[in-house]
Amino acid sequence: MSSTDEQKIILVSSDGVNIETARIIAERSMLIKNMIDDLGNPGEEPIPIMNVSEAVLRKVLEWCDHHKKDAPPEKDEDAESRKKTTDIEEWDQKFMQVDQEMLFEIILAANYMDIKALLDVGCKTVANMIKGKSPEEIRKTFNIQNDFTPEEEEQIRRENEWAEDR
Amino acid sequence: MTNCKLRLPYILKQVLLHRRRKTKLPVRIQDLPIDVILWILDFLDPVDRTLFAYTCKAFRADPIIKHSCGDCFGVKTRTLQLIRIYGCEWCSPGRWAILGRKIDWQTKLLDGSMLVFPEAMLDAIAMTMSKRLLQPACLARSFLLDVRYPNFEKSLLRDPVFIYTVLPFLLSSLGWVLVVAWQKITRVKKVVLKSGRKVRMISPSEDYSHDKWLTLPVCLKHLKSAHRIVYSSNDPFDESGHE
Repeated sequence: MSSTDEQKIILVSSDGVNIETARIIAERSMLIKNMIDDLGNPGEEPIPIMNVSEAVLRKVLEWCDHHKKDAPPEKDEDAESRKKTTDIEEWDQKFMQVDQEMLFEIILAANYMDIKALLDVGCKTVANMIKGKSPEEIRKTFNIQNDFTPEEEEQIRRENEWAEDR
Repeated sequence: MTNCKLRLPYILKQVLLHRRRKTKLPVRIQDLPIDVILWILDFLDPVDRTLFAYTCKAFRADPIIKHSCGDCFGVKTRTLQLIRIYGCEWCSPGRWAILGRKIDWQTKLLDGSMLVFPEAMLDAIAMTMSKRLLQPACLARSFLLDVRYPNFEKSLLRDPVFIYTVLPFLLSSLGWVLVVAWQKITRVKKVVLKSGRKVRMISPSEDYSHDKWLTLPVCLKHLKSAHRIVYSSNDPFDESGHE
């Protein structure tokens, strides 16, 4: 194992908690990778992750740890084939079995920390929760308030007829 | 007292932290940035995307979210709900959508060209297609659709696919026959050369093309003996004064 793999760095969550992790794990995040490249001397100074709380950061690092040996993502890699499937690996499925708030927090963190693969997994999980549901069911699932008037709703119902009897 | 002074910043910090924690609302799907929502929608088919866009006003009003399936849904609901346009060129390549309306309804095809439909035709399609998803083949069928014949598919002669493929062929064949006939009729049949009392007739061979025949006067000017040329009744040079 090279020294880079063993190197430790310290991340600081938005609530001020220091979390020590291996550089190889943290570098799954392009944000952190670029910061390390820019700062030089990794491990000497803690890296602030301003928008991610401790709980979410630990969860994200857990995912990064499990996927640390995955091939690094290529830029714009196979964008079309990515969209075709919502299949999620078994481990990732279990990992995403969290409450909705945490799920969205993970997605936001993945987006902020630029971890495309994690963002994909999170978005696929949400997409699977939407699939095949009516607007009312989607509202219930995500606790979206129905702010349409009865007239608007009737109009929507008529507009949606084409999609409902698939 | 001293203790209080020392602890005050700490207590203040704790209060601020607590308040910050308390005021932070849980993240909902509505709070996700638009690019993340679009990332999610990437994994859905147009139907699910549309239904998702109809869950609340914010999503419905957002042109980007809604447009995952198009201006198509914003153009004119009455027709769209009837003909059930399914997706659009942007979010659902290979399918059809009405992208906009300037004078008539327009649909963009995959090759970038625009097809324009009169509204009356769309209404006719809507009436007949009512509960089918509109696919290119369906639309092609609908071109010659007559709403007076609800069982159009049962009769071969009224089958729009049959009509749509055979009729253009028949029409183009008929056109070709007419063009050939017209060429035959207008072809110069013969040239009569009169020199004094002698009359010589030149008839073109069957394979002598009309174009070559038109160059004949140029050749004839070298025939010194010919002082009078009479063309056939369908002579194209009637106005040229060759005589």
